Amino acid sequence: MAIEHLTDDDYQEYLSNPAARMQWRGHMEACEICQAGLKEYEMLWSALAEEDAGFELSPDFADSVVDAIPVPEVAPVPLAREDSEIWSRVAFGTAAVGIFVALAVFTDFYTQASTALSSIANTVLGWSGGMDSYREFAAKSPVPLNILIASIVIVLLFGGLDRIQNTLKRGKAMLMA
Amino acid sequence: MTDERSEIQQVLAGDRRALKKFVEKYQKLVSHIVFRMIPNDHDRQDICQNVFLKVHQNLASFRHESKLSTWIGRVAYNQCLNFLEKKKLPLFEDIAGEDSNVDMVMGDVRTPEETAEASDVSGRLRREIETLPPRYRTILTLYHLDELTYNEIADITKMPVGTVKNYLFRARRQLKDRLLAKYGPEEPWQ
Repeated sequence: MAIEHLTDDDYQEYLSNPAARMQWRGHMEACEICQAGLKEYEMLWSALAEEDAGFELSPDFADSVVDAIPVPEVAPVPLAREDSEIWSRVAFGTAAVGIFVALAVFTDFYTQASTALSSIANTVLGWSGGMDSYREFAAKSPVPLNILIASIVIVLLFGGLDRIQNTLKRGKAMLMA
Repeated sequence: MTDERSEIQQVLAGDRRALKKFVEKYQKLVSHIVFRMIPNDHDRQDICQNVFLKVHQNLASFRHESKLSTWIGRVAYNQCLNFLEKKKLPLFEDIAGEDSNVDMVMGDVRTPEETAEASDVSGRLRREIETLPPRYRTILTLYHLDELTYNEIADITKMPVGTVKNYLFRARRQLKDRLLAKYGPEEPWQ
């Protein structure tokens, strides 16, 4: 039976593929012809890996590329949409709280509001205690009722404003589309 | 990948120092491809610059589906293909048969410059590589100097992996045969 030596492709597989190396190792250790053939490829391999092919670009190449690319125009950085929304809400909230504090200090708004609420309660819930019994109830209540009422009004006001804002935004987006 | 993303963000944000670093990082790969594909030295510098302009122009659309280096390599390779096609320079000619190569080598007459260049291994090898078609030269360089895998080379050149491997094997075989025929069994590597 004729001895099978490695072909050119086998030598290259041997050098680049560990599985081929395993396959041919036994033969390679015993066969001088194949050892010589492999040596030629090993020499070529190391020469290719160290080849100095003169790929030199000019030393200022990177600078020339940077100079050729125009500097992007610096636009004023707009406040992110989320940030601006938060700030507008804070402003609304501060204004609303200011209004309610002013109403409490300078007018009898809460007394009138209490009267109005008690009459609504009288009509809707059949609560017949009148103004005096509201005052009694408010005095006994662990939560300051006036502040509670103001908070409810603020929450309702903000909910309404938010809804109006969203509706306007949606309308604008539809118009833009 | 995260480093690549921050690298890209800095370049896109207009950071000139990051841009310079970016060019310096990839200019070796780009020059390897361009210098192997393009014969004229003056064109090479211009094409390398155009590659980076193109890369910068399209960087925002890079989808991270491959390594950034592979994508840049592909841009460089395509720029070279376009240039060669425009200049009607040969690209697709195949390596000639083994026998004809050896005959050609035997009848080869070297100029004094070539003789001087051929006095070292690198010079001899470079001279022989220059005789290969551009595709073969490029694949050889990407594999041996840039140490890219068959898959990465296939990604850059848009060739099937099997074709890349086949071209590499044929190119090496031709180089070895030509060097041995020209310089004998010992001299090519000394």
